[in-house]
Amino acid sequence: MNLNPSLNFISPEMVLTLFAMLALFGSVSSRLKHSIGLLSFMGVAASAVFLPLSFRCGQFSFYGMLINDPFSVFFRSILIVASAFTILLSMGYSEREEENGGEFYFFILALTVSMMLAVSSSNLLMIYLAVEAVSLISYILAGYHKKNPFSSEAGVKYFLFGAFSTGVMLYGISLIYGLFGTLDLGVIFRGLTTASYVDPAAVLVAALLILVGIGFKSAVVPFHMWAPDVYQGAPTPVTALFSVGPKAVGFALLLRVFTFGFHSAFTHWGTLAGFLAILTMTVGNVLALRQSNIKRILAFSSIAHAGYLLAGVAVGTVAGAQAVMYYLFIYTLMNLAAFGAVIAIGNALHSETVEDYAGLYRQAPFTAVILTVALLSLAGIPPLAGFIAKFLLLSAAVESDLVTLAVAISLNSVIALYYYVRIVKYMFLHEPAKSTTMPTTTSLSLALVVLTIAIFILGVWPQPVLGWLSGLLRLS
Amino acid sequence: MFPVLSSLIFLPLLGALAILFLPREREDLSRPCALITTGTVLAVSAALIFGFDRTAPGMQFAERSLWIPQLNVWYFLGVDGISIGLVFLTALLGFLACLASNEIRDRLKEYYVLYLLLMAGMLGTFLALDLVLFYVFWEVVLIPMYFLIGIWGGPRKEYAAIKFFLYTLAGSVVMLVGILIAYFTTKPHTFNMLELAAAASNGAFDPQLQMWLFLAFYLAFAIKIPVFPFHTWLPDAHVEAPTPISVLLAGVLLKMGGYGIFRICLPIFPQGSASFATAFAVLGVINIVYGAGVAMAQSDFKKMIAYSSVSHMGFVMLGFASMNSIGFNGALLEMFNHGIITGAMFLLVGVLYKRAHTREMDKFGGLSAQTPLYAFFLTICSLASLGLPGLSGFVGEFLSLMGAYQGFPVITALSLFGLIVTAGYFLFMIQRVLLGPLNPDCRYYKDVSPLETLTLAPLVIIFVVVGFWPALVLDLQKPTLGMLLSLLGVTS
Repeated sequence: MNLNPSLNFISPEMVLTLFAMLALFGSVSSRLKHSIGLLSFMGVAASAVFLPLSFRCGQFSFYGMLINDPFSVFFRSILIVASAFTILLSMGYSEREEENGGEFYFFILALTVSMMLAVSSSNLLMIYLAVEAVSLISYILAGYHKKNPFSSEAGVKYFLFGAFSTGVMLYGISLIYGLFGTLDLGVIFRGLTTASYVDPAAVLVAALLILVGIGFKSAVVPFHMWAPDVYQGAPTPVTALFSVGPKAVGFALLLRVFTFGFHSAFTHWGTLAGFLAILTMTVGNVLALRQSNIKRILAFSSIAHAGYLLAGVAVGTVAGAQAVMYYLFIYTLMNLAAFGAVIAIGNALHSETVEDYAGLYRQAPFTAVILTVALLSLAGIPPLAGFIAKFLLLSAAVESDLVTLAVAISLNSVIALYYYVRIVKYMFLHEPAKSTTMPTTTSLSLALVVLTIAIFILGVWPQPVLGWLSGLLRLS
Repeated sequence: MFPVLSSLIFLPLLGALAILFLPREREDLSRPCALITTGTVLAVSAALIFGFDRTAPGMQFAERSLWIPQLNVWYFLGVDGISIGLVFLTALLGFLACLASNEIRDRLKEYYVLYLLLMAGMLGTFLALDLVLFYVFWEVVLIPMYFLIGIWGGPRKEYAAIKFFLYTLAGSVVMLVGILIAYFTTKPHTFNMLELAAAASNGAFDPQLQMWLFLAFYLAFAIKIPVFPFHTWLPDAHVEAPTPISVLLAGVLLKMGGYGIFRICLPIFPQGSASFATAFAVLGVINIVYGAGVAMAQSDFKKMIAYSSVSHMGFVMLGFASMNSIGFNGALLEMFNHGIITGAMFLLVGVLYKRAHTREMDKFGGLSAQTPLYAFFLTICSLASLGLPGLSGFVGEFLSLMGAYQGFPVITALSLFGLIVTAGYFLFMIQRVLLGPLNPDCRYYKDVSPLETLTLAPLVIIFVVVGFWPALVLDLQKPTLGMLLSLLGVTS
C-alpha cells in the first residue's frame, strides 16, 4: 500500500510536530528563547495551510486507523483555531515561568497534535492511544506551575481521575474486541445491525464503559469532579485550552461512536444521554452560583455547556449533530475570549477573585467590555454568537419532539445568567477599591479583539460557518 | 423605496456608534449627538404616520429579505394599526426622555450609547414580523436596560437591575421554545407571524397545542405587562431607575407585553386565547384593584406611580378579555394613553426629586403656591391618569370596561371599585404634595424650568387632544383590529 495519501492526510499534524520540536530545541538558545511563542504561532498557521490538502485525501488513512469525514474536518479546524488563540493568550500571560518557555509551547503543540489525531480516529485502539496522549500531556500542563501548590494539586488530581477513567474505557474497548473480534468502528457498527449472535446487553455494558472515558474528557456529570480544581490550578492559558480542546475531542467521539454508531443499537441511548445532559447542565449551573474564583466559575460554566452539548448529542439526528458542532465552535470562541480577558485582568490585579474585579470598568474599559461580551454570549443573549448556537440546539431538540430537553436548556440559561451577570455587576456597577494600571500585550489584545469581533459578527451573520457546516454534513 | 422602518432601527444604532467613537475628552458632545438622533427618529416616525394609510388593515412599509437561510429566518419588518401608535409613542418618549436626561452627569458617553441601543431594541420589537427577529429585539432591550438601571439607578439599583433581567429572561426563554414548537408544527415551517396566523386559521394548531403555546408566549408577555402575580419586578425597577429610564420602562417596555398579545397570542392562537378570556378578565380586575390598593398605601411618590401602572395595565387585560371590537380598541388605546400619561407622571416625579432629593410625599406640602406651573402639570396629569372625562385616559378605560361588560358584567363592576381607589390615591397625593400650608423645607424650590416644560407640554397636549378627539388614534387602529377580530371569528 502506498503511504503517500496517508502522509498527506496527516500533513498538518506533521507540520505541528516539526514546530513543536523546533520550540523545544529553540529554548536552548538564549537568543531565540523569547520568540518561541511567535514561532509556535507560525507553526499553527503553517499547519492550517496544510488543512485543505488534508481534507482532499481519501476517506481512510493508515489502514483504516484514521478517517476523513465531516467530523474530522470540522473538529480539526476547531482545534487549530483553539490552539492558535491559546498561543496568543500564552504570549500575554505574565505568570508563565520564562525559563521553561520552550517546553510550555512544545506541550501546547503536542497536545494539539494528539487532539487532532483523536478526532480523526476510526479505530477504538487509535482512539484510546490518542486520548491517552491527550491525557498525559494534560496532566503535565495542569501541573506546570511547579512552585504553585494549586497547580501541582491540579496535575495530580487530573492524573488520578484520568488514569481511572481511561482504564475503564480500555476495559470497555477490550469487551468490544471480545464481542466483535475487531476494533475498527466501521466493522463494529455494521456488525451491530447484522450480526445476530452478539449479545446486546454485553454491547451496552461495553458502550457505557467507553462513555465513562469520553464523559471524563468532556466533563460530563458525574465524571466532572476534576474540572473545577484543575481549571483553577492550571496556568490560565492552559485552562482556556482545556475548556475547549478536550471537550471538542470528547464530543467528536460521542458523535462518531454514539450518535452515528451505537445509537441505533440501543433504544434508550437517547433517554440516557438526555438525562445526563439535564443533570450536567443543572449541576454545573447550580454549583457555579456560589463560586467566587472566576476560573472556578468558568469551570462550572463549562460543565454546564457540556450539558447543553450533550443535549444535542441526545437528539441523535443530523440536525442535532450540526447543532453540537456549531455550538462547540462558538463555545470555543467565547470561552477563549473569556479566559483571555481573565488573563489580561490577572496580569494587572494578580487576582482571580470576582470581588476584586470591582470597578474594573474604570481602569480597563476595553478588557471589561470584552469579558462582558464573552459572558453575555455564553449566557446566550442575542445578538451575540452564543444565541444562534443555543437556538440551533433548541431547534434540534424541538424538531425531534424533545420539548422537556429544550425547556431544561432554556431554564438553565436563566440560572446561568445570574452568575455571568454577577461578574459583569462587579466590573460595571461597583466602584474600584484601589487603582491599578493595566499592562497590555499586543498578542493578547489582538486575540481578544479578533475573538470579540467574531462573536459579534457570527451573532448577526452566522451564514459563513453554518453554510460550511451544513455543506459538510450533507456530504456524509 | 426608502426603507423607512429599517432607518428607524438603524438610526439609533448609528448614533450609538458615533458616540462610541467620541474621544473621552469630548464626552459632552454625546448628549447633542443623542438628541439629534432621537429627534430624527421622532421626525421619521411622524412622517410615517402621515404616510400611513388609515383605511388599510394590513402591513405597510413592509421590508423583507432572507437573513439566515439555514434557519429560515427573515429580516421582516412592517407596521400596521396595532404597531403604528406604539412606534410613534416610542419615538416621542425616546426623544423627550433624552431631553430629560440632563440630570445624568456621570459616564455620559456610556449612558447615551446604551440609551440609543435601548431605542433600537424597542423600535425593533414593535416592527419585527419574524418571530426570531422579534425575539432578538425583545432580548436586545434587556442588556442596555440592565446597565441603565444598574449604573445610574438609586440605592437598590443592583438588586432591581438583576431582578428585572432575570424575570424577563425567564419569561422569554420559554417563549423561545414556544416559537420553535410553532415553527415545526406548521408546514411549510415558518417564523413569519403573518403566515403563522394564516396557517392557524387553516387549523395548523390543534386546540390542545394552542393552549400550551399560548401559555408559553403569555408567560413572557405577562411578565412584561406585568400581570399579577408576575408584577413584583416592576416596583423595584421603576423606583430605582433614573427618571428618563423610568419613563421608558413605564411608557414603552410595559407596552411590549400587550403588543405581543395583540401581535402573536391573539392572531396565531385564537382558540387558545379565547379559552383564557375569563382568566384575562379575572387577572385584569386583580391588577386594577390590587394595584390601586397598593398604590394607595405608598408614601413614596415614585412607587405610587409604579403601582398605578400595574393598576392601569389591568384595563388592558380587561380589554383583551372582552374579545370584541370595543374592548380591543380600548386596550390598545389604553396602552398608548398610559405611555403618554405615566411618562409625564414619571417626569413630574423626577422634577420634584431633582429639587428635594426625596420622594416621600409627606416631606412636601403647599407646593401649589410655591411652584404654580408644576402644580398645574401635576394636577392635570393626575386627572388624566385617574380617568377624568375629556382627557385621554378616560376614553381607553371606558372602552375597555364597556367591551368587557358584555361578557363579564360582574368582574367589570368589581373593577369600578379600582377606579374609585385610583381617584382616591391621586387626590390624596395632590393633597399631600400641592395643598395645605407650605412646608418650610420647600421654600426654595424653583418652578419647572423651560427645558422641563418642553418635555412635559407635548405629552399634556397629546392627552388633552386625544381626550377630546379620540378618533385621531382610534382611526389608525380600527381597520387592523377589525381584521384581527375576523381572525378570531368575531364580527364587529
